[in-house]
Amino acid sequence: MKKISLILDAVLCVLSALLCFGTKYLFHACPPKEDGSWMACHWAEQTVFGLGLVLLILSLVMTCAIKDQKVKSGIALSLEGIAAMALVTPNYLIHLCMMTDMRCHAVMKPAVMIISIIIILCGAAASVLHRKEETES
Amino acid sequence: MKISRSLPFRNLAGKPVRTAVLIFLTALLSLTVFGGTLMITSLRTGLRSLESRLGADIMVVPYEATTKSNLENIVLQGATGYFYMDHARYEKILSREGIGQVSAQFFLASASSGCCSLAVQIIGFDPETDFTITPWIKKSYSQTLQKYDIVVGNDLNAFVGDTLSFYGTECHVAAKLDKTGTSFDTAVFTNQETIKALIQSSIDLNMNTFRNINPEQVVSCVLINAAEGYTPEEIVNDINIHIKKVKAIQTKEMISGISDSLQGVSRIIGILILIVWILGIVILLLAFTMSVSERKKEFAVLRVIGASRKKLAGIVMQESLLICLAGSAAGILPGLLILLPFHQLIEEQLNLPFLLPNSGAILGYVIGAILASVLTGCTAAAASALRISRIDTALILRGDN
Repeated sequence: MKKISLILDAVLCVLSALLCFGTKYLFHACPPKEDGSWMACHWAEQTVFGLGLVLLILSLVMTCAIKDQKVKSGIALSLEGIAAMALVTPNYLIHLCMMTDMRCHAVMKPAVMIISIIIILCGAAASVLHRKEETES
Repeated sequence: MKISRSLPFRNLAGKPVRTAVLIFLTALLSLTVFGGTLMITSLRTGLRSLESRLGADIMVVPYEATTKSNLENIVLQGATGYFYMDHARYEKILSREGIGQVSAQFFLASASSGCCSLAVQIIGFDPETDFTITPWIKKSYSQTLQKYDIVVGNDLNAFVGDTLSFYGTECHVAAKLDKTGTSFDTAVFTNQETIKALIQSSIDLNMNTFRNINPEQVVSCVLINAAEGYTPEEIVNDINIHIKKVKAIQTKEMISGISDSLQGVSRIIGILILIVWILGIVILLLAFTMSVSERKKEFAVLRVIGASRKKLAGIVMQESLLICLAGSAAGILPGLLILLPFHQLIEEQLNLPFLLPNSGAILGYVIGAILASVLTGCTAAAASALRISRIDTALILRGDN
């Protein structure tokens, strides 16, 4: 059980890092316009980057610094909430570009969506496992 | 009894590496068959969707337009680009023999607006004569388009009631079209009154490359259906010979390029599926045979403690069934996660009409891929199951196997 929860914590760290830096460098939004100004999707990218950074810090703290299983369970639960925010940021909280075949719709939105859903699922599993470990000990 | 029921699970859990390798192989099989089938179907659905939008036998464009590298995409798929010819040529076309239905279209590419850095193709049509766009629009919008009313393609992030601004002119979104899997999904459709006003606005703002045109006296292309008793070839030849500075093209000829590319991609995917399947079957057959061979003593002991030959074969078959089910899930899930959310990216990269089938059909492919993997795995395991049911227990336990 402990081994599985440790793997889940590590997976959450990797996924948070992927959401944070991936949104910035791998599956980023549309490039700037010819005049150098940014489109709306850029601000969605910035927000997801910020949320990803919070996810990364929390998951690292949960994995490396916290020993109390109850606290770990609580942090895992909070990761779910933040990941849910990241999930709805592109196009729902912050509008993306006009055409859905543009990079922000075709690449960034689905990538953020998939990673966020996996974080939510892993977060839920980690939260339950840490609770179980707490009751077992 | 309880132990014998849980034995296949325990066997698999006891050899995690072997189980993982077998699951990986079946996952690869299901991913290939599911992903490949979905890709081929989406490409074919896209082509069918494009064909159903064509509607005209012949297309007449100004001769200069034929030099445009993306002419096919502009007129067939709604890619951005525009050209004009005198209305007088349209009149001349009307006077030719064999012309059945005929309608003019007007093209204009919007400048990059505040929302995005890419231009939007605006296609204008004459509602009184149009026979290609109207039947398609009617599925989403049955009323007549008023001046400054527009109908937007499915991939535009605009909805009914929104206002879009083109060249400083505000247009009202009256309807949103169904998805076609072509560039029409990012185009805007409107009546000729509106597009003429938009062309004029683009000229007034000095943003139209054709600066000396009168929007009232130009058309972009003319769509023709041959009258009864005439073939499209005859009309194409007649127009190309008798009307100067225009080029008549059969739409079927234009789509043949797209169709050829699609055939090529489908063939490659089909061959890939076949190769992976043959390799997969051979590897699974080998894996199951080797696995059963090295476990002969284990099965012999089971025979000694009372397991029937049928039971032994059952254990092998149950193990393969579990592996195939787990492998199918592990293969189809990433397939779904890649193909469904990233279909826009795939469409863009392939540069071919790409339209995902409906959810019912996708569910059918999921079930089909699971069945195919399970059947393949179980067939590969059946030979081993048959062999294990015939083992000579005494011989194996003596070590003379």
